[in-house]
Order: sequence, then C-alpha cells, then structure tokens
Amino acid sequence: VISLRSIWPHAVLAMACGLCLLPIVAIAVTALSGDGETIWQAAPELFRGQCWSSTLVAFWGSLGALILGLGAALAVTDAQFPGRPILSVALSLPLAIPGWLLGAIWIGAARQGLVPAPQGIGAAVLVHALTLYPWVYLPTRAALSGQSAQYRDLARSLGLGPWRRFFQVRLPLIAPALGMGALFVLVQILGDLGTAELFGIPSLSGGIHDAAFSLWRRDWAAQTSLVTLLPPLLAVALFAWLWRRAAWHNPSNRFAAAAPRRLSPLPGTLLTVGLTALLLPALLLPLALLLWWAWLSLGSWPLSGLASMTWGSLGLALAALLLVLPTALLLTTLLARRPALARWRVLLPIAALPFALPGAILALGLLAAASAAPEGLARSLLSNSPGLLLIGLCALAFPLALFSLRLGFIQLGPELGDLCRCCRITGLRRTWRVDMPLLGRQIGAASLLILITLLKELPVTMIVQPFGHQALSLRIYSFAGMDLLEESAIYALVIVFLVAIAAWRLDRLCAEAPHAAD
Amino acid sequence: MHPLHLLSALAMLSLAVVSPQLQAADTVRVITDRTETHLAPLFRYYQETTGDTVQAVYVGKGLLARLQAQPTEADLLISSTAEVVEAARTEGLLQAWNSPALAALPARFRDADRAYIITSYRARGLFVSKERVPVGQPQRYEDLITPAWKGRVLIRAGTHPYNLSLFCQMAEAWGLPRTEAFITGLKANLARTPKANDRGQVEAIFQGVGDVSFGNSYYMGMMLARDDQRPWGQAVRYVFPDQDGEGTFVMRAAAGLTTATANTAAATRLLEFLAGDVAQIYLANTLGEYPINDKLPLSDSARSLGQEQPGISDGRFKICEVAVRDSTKHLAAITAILTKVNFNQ
Repeated sequence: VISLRSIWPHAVLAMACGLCLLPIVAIAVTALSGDGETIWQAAPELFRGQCWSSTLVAFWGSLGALILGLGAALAVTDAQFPGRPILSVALSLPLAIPGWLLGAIWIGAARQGLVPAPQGIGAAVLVHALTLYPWVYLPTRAALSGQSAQYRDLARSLGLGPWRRFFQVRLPLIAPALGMGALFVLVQILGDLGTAELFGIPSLSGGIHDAAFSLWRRDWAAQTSLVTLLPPLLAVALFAWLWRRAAWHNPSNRFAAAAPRRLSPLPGTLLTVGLTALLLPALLLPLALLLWWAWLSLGSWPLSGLASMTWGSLGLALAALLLVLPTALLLTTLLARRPALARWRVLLPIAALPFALPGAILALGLLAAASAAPEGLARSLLSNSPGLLLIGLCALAFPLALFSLRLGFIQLGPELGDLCRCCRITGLRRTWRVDMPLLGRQIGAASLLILITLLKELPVTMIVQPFGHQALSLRIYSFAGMDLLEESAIYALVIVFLVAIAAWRLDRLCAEAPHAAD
Repeated sequence: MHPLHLLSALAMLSLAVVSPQLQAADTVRVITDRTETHLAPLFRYYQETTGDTVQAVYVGKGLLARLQAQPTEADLLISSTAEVVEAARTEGLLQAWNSPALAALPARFRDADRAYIITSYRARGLFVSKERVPVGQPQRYEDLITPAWKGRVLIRAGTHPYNLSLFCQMAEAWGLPRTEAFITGLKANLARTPKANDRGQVEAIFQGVGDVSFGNSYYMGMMLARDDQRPWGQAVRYVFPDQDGEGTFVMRAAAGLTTATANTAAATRLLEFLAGDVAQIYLANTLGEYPINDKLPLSDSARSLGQEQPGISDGRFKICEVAVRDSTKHLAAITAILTKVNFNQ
C-alpha cells in the first residue's frame, strides 16, 4: 500500500537530486540550443590549446598538492620535531588565501623586486599546489591519526620494511582520504579563472568567460562547460568509488594510538626548516606583504565599508550554512535510517556535481535556469537576486555538508539504531538527543568547510550578487584587477583572518582521531 | 466621505502638486560593469542633490548574461563598453528613452533609435617606449605590422572587450580583408603571447619585453598617479595613431534604459544627469576619460597626451567615427579571424 508516509522520503530525496541537477540540465540545454558551429568546430586550435593548458595545470597542480599534503601529514603524524605543535596548525592555514590572491601578491612582490616575476604555467601550478595542499593535508592527517598502531605492529611482525609497510599497509588505508583530497584539489583547479588570468595562460574556464561575456556566445560557453564537466564527472565517479572503500574501514574499533617518533636534533631541525620553507611562499611572505601594504594605506581604510563588506561575506555564508545543514541532516538521516532508500545514495555523487562546476559555469547555469523558469512562483524566486545567490552558495555548500554528515552516520554504525529502538528513542527525539551530539565533530567540520569555501567564493558572488551587496572577495578582486594591491590589502587581511580562524578550528577537529567519536 | 479621509486626500494632493522634490524621490536600480570606486561617489552626489535613491549592482563579469536572465531587475544599464549595451539592444533588453535633453546630444553620442547614449570615451591608441622608439613613430596602426616592428608589439588578449571593439571598428572602417591582414600581421609581430591588462603591457615595455603596446588613454594618468607605476608611465609616451588618415579609434562607455517600466522617469533623469556637465566633468577628472561635451575641460593627464605629435593640441585628437551598431555586427567575423590566427596563444 502506497501511503504519504512511505512516499515523502522518496519525494524529498528525488527533489534534492533534481535541484542539484538543475544547473547541469540548464547548461546542457543551452549547449544544444546553438544554431551555428560548435566551439570545437569554430575554433579547434583555440579549444585544444585551452584543453591542453588546463590539463597540464590541473595534473601538475593536483600532483603538487598531493605530494605536499601527504608529505606534511606524514611528517606531522609520524615525527616529533621542534615546533611540531605550531607547524601542525600552521600547515593548514594556507587555506585562508585564495589562489588568485596569492598570485596577485606574488606579482606585487615581484614588482617590488622581492621575488622573481612569476609567470606562465609553472607559476600557476605552484600557486595551486601551495594554496590547495591543505585540502589533502587535513583529511590525510586525520586518516593517519586514526590508524591504529596495531596495523604497524602487525606489519612489522610480518617482516615488512619501512617502505613496504608504507606502500602495502598504510597507504591503502589512507587512500580514500588522500584521493578525496586530491580530487577536491583537481576540481578546484579546473574551475579556477583568476590564477590563469593573472599568469596569462589559456584555460577552459577562461574560454567559458570569453565565450559568455566577450563574444556573447552562451552556446559556446555551455559547450565548453560540458567538456569542463568531464574531468569532474570522472572525479566524482572516482570519489564515489573511494567513498565506498572508505565506508569499509572503521578505525574506531580496537584503536591503539601510535606515538610519533622523536627525531634526533639534525633531522628534526631539517624537518622544521623544510616545513617552514613550505609555509614561506604560501603563508608567511604573503601575510607579511599584506600587513605591510595595509600599513602603507592606513590613512585610507574605509572602516564603515569594511564592516558592511565583512558582514556581507559572513552573513551570506552563515545564511547558506543555516539552510544547508538542516537539509543535509534530514537527507542523511533518511539515508541512514531507512534501508529502503538505499538507491537514493546516488544523491551523494549528484550533489557533488554543482560543486565540481567552475563557479562561473554554476552562475551561468543559475542564470539560465532563472531565464527559463515559467512565470509564477519559481520565476519570482529565481528573479530575486539575493535568492539566486543564496541558491548558488547553497549548491556549493551542500555537498560539503552532505558528505561530512554521511561520513558521521557511517562511523556511528548500524548498531546505534538498534540500541535507540530498544530504548524507544525514535524520530526527531533520536535526532536531537542521540544523533546530533554524536555527530558534533562532523557538523562542526562541515560548518567550517562551508565557511572557508564561501568566504573566499568569487565567481558566483560576482555574477549573481544582489543589489547593494558588498563582499570582501568582490572588493579584493576589483582592486587587484586595477593593480591596486595596497588598497586591497586590508580587505584581504580581513578575509585571511576570518578563514584562518575557521581553518584553525578545522585543523583542531581533524587532529582529533576518529576514535574520539566513540 | 469621512472628513478625515477628505482631509488626508487633500493633503496628499497638495504635497504632490507643491513638492516636486518629494515627487522625484524615486529609486533607480542600476546594473553596471564599471567599478564601484568610480561610480559610487557620483551616485552619492546624485542622491544628495535630487533626492532620488540609486541602488547599484557592480557586476564585474557577465553583465549581459545577467540582464538576459533577469531583464527587469534594473532600470538602467551602464557599461564601460558600448558594445555590451548595443548587444543588450539587439537582444531586446532596452527601451527607448524619451528626453529632449538627450535628444539634443550630438548624433555620434546617441543611438539612432534612442536605445542608449554614450557617456564618455577614451582613445585606444599606443604606448610607445621613449627610450627605444624615436619621436614620430609609429604613425599608423598598420605601421605595427611592418617588419620593422617584428617581436616588439604588446597587447592584451584579443578576445578582451577592448580589443574586440577595436578590431570590430577597424572592420567597419577599413573593411574585413584589411582588418584580417592587420590582425594576422599583428600576431606575427607580437613580442609575447597576449596576456595581462593594458598597464601590464606598459610594465613590459618598461622591462624591455617590447617597445609598443595597445592601451586606453586614461591609463597614462592612472600610472603617473601611483608611486609604484609611475616609472612605467614615465618610460612611455602616448601616440594617437592615424592622425593623418582616418583617425584614432575610441572605446566608448554607454548607458541605456532597460525594459523595466516601474521607474522609467527616474531612470531617464539619471541618464540625463550622466550626460550633464557635472557627471561629465567628474568622469573626465576621476577616470581621465573624454567628456561627450567637447566644450568641457579635459583632465590634466588627458591634456598632456600626444604632446610630441603634430596636430595634437591639448590632448584633443582626430577620431575615426564608427557607429557602435555598425561595428558590433562584425563580432562573429572578428572572432573567426582571431581563432583562425590563434591570436591568444
């Protein structure tokens, strides 16, 4: 018997999938609606050049972030060396500086003769690797912290040397975290526009901007967008595969913490110097320059504007957070509690799709959806600019909340449900009194990830910002575009400060081993 | 009728009749790709002097895409590139203004169908190295495609709106074959792959990467006003090409009424203000642009441009006049040429 009670969870999950697919459908329709040549027919060489350049930057940038993130995570987890407590936190702080801002700071530093002039693909790769490696470092460190010492002892007793212990035992166990981090980096590099623009390199994202905003060929922009979607789609598929693998491994059982090995003075000092050297171009030099430039422009600080911009950035991020977290909690609760809804786990990769879109494409998709919406309620909602921006930001925030909470439910395990049923704690009461306290770490991590992502967000905010809206990222980008780095420094410092606080808190959450949830 | 109702109706009527200031207190919503730091002070002045409120959204990218999606969310469209406003007109996103003051503007500064007006303009000429290029060279745009300039020319991406506008105007003024030969020759003479902004090209001249670059005239004043960029500006002189021929091409900023009808009167008033002397002097002095009223004074930096060129007096130069709607129709052909020669790579 089909009842409303049995249908509504399906309807809610189907609606969530539909909403996540909406921008992609709109882009596909726009791509097919062109009446002339396609972009690859009209400009094959240009298109190939953009593909090649984007591929190079994405590959090397992701690889760089992977190596830096894994190396830093291994160093901090396995070794005891001078400055380790400070460095373990500081290594996550480059999250606070968006790639395009780091690029602009380097260019400004080069103009003052402080560093060699960064240029070309090499500079873009370096900027991406240095700003995005924390996305690998944080989950990998959490995964390494969660590895029981019993695995290593067992491997050692089987006669495996250090290299084989790492590649055959430890690496497979952290592979999901490592892979998820690397895929996240890849997606962000593919969607980048600002860094590519700064260093004058062709990119698919740049091609989309040119087609949509200079040549007014929305069909070409949409066609390029579809091509740009392919690597993220593969990434999402790989992500889903890794996700399933991650679900098999529950490190909370019989956990024995592994103490880091104390290094002798010389290797310990060398490691400290090496990790500090990593932070120098990624965090310390940019921060010092921003402080110096802000000092130089001290007299012209627009304090009232600064406050409203800070509120503009923070307020919308918080609004998106408040909308997304309860929604994600409802959906993940449904998926966790009702085995009949297992097929709707497809929501996870689908929800990741808008996140995998470059921001400009997502904005175009939202605009296309707004222009195609029928008259009436949907139209009035979409035509309302604050609503549209909030939808865009929620689309970016949604997968972060969804994946964090889903991971939390998996870690809680199915036994908890049986226990709650025995105690007659069900429905909302269970959510409020059992699930939410136990999911506190995941909710915290999701909230911080959302804040970090949305505070730095630029393309969606730029294109669909509401009237009178002011945001820190918009002002920084506007000034940086006019080569006014000194004037932008104070805004950049505020955004770096806010994101650094969130990154620091996230670092603390990730540093707590998953077994703490027990 | 209740006496109180009658009294309040009379009071409202009298207010409407005797207080034009209150009658004019409307809100105009502006969508623009111009920078907030430049326009916001002008809007504040307008609000203080007229009582009308201006709500603006500064869309750095995607202005037209946004307007297409939400055609009536703004009353007034302002763009630093007239071609964007012309594209909005062809998309049916603009309505004709009805204003005697705007109708009195010179024909070259208003659309034939009253869809928009030009609010200011700037030359798209050349920055030339003082150190490595003798005075008097180059004289024409097409000098840059001769072998003498091989490996010495700098330009930002060909698909940037400024360059698209330049090439489209060339196509209209010179014809497509000559423009194609120019773009092909230019590509062959570039000192490096097109990248960075107009000021970045002048920085490259300062560093010795190239000797001549394309750039908007107002950048000279902007560079000279900043300590860190002054050496770049001092390393070059500004040349208005083709002063003996068809004239120098210009980039135009423009504004037009959207199809939103709720505040048409207020939006028209703001449009008239933008074309008026106060706004024109502000735009000239703040941005270094050329006002559409030739009688208004230019900024000091604009007056100093082209001093070494014969025929240039007080920064005034000969313009190659091409109507925006005539040049924009060449966009597809120019795009095809740029992709054919792989200009950006």
